[in-house]
Amino acid sequence: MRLSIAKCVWGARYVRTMLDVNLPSLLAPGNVPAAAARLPLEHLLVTTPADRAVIEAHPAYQALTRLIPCRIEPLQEMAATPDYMGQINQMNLAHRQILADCRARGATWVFDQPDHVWGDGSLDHLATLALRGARCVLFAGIRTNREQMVPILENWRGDATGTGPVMAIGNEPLLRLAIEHMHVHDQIRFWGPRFSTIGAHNVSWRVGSHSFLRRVFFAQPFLLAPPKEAVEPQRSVDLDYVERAYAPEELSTIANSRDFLVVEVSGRYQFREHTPYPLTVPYLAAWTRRWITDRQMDVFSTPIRFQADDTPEHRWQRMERFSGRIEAALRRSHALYEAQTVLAAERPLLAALLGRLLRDDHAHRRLALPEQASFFAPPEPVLAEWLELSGADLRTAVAGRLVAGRVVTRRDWPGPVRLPTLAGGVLDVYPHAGGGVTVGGVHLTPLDLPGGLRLYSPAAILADVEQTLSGECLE
Amino acid sequence: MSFDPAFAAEPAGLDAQLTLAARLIRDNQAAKLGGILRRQSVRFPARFPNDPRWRLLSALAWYVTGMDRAFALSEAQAARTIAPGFWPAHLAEAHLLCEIREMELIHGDFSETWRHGRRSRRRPDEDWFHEALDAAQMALALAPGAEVWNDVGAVHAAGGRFDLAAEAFETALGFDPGQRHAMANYAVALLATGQAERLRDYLDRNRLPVRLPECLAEVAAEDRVGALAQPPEPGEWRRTAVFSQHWWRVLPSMIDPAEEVPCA
Repeated sequence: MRLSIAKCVWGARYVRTMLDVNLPSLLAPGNVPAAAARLPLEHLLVTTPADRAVIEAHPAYQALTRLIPCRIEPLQEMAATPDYMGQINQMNLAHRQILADCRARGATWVFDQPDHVWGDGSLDHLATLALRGARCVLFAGIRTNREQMVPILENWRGDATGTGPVMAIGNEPLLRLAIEHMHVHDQIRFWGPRFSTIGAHNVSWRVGSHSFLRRVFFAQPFLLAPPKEAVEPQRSVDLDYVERAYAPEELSTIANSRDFLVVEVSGRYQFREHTPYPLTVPYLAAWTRRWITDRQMDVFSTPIRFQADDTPEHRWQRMERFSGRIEAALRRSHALYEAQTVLAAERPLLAALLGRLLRDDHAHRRLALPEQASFFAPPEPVLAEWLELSGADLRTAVAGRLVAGRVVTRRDWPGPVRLPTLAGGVLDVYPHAGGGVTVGGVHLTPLDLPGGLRLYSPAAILADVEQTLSGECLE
Repeated sequence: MSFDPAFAAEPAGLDAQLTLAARLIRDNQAAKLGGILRRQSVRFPARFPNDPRWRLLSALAWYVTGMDRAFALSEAQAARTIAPGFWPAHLAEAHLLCEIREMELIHGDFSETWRHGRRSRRRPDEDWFHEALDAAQMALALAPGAEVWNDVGAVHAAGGRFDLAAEAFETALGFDPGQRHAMANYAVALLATGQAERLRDYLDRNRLPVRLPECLAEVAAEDRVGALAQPPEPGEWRRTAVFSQHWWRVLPSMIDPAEEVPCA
């Protein structure tokens, strides 16, 4: 097995960043020197002829060539627009070059970027995982402000004699700096602040003064063994390649920044994609339903701890439970979106009710829906009145007919069964031998909807819904 | 890097450079200015240091590539220092200052939330965007018009003063009832100030030039402003006012007055 630390770079700004911080951080004792002592390691750079001359003359690159074999390959240039998207397209083309190179040499790609800063020991940790047979290792780097980070990182430059290009900064101090100088790009992906992002590629929760928890939809791959079948990325390595190239069991996520940490440095006023609303379950549910695959939802279920303080274990666990409930709420919302679609054709009022609850953040927080729930729908005229209520009154009305679990069985016949509602009241339900119930003198028939919700609704109309459900949803 | 062959031969003089840039803007290819910038590196702003149009093009190049708003701002400020009566430079300064201050606001809000472990209660004071507002009003004094009034409103909106923003957008529509940014922004401002009746009436009377969030259409049908406090659809994020981009779209007509300004 051999590892290839490979990246592409062009343009004065990124070349400078690579030479100033990326290569020096790779030279730290726990990175290239430690990993190279355990398994064959090489460095591959894809760049332009003009940039190559600058790179080869730099002491950091020269120091690297003395440690491991280093190659520079010419960048396959494309007629790209020179805006940000043009750069991304060019980068994706270069990544295909790197993938082909790794495939030809049977090398495992250590994914790197010119604006990455590696915590000391992180590369060695990757080497350890590779030796244990890891196929594709995922993590989520932190984006930081270049204007602050690069000068501060100078404090960690120098070998034992205080000279030379090496930049050895441990994961904990690097994380502390990253939190202090976090880029707005990452700040708007935290749960809590008033501003958030249009696209929540990951979501983070503060845990302590220097620690946070992160769950990721679009994880960055940092170690990519040659896939069993040759696969090309269609969009980019982190957006679609991982899902297409590796089976779920081949993925592993690094779960603690104490083992591995890479941060990126970017211009402070680059990447403007905020929205003046905080992250909420309804927004995330709508966004993930549109953009996130089932595989990416599964990656989201693994929390990553970014830890640079002594936050006690119980606080981590509490935040893992809290963020886990948000994940569960997202999955539940996806199912309820399906339920709403099913209801829309035959029961527009119930569909509208569900639609309003799905867009109501307070409903998600205050109507904590249990895994299984039963809703006893009122007659249609009452439903129509409900839809005119304000958000708070509507939630109260719904909670008054919402019961945890699937609580009514035929053995309860003839009733009444007194069921505690989520509003704190009691609902008298009279079961029928056929599975239906009577509530408030109205006969209701049960129907199981996606999302663990059992809907009791007037029987005649429900038959049509059932037909829709069996035709569209169960196919 | 290789670029469009049209830029392979670099025009030497200022007039030729300006003509090329004007053509790109007219063709809705302003992003390619970034290519020229990158190819010429730091020589780009320094090439014709005393020409305000050139400095503003430099600001545009830095802005449209999204690489460095701070440098774009300094170029816009250089342009208005060279020529205090050059109103697009003031408008560019307002736009860039506003975006930078918004990002600083997010940063400050995040830092406070992080420090206290809960959502910040502090709101930006009215002065947070005052420099941007001053710059926009300077442009307004020099060249009053629908687009500039729209941008004044956009600065107010960024500061959370949607009441003042609504007034500015209304004034913009007084200058030009078809100004597309002001038309949409006015609807957004009415929604933000909870004026459902006026919004419904406005949407009934006007066909907006852009697709607005679904929630606006719903407000037009029913009075449910309170229930629509959160964005439920991914496309509904655009519930804030936008700038007209007039500061750079007007440049071709200033470089070559014979040509018309392209539609925004």
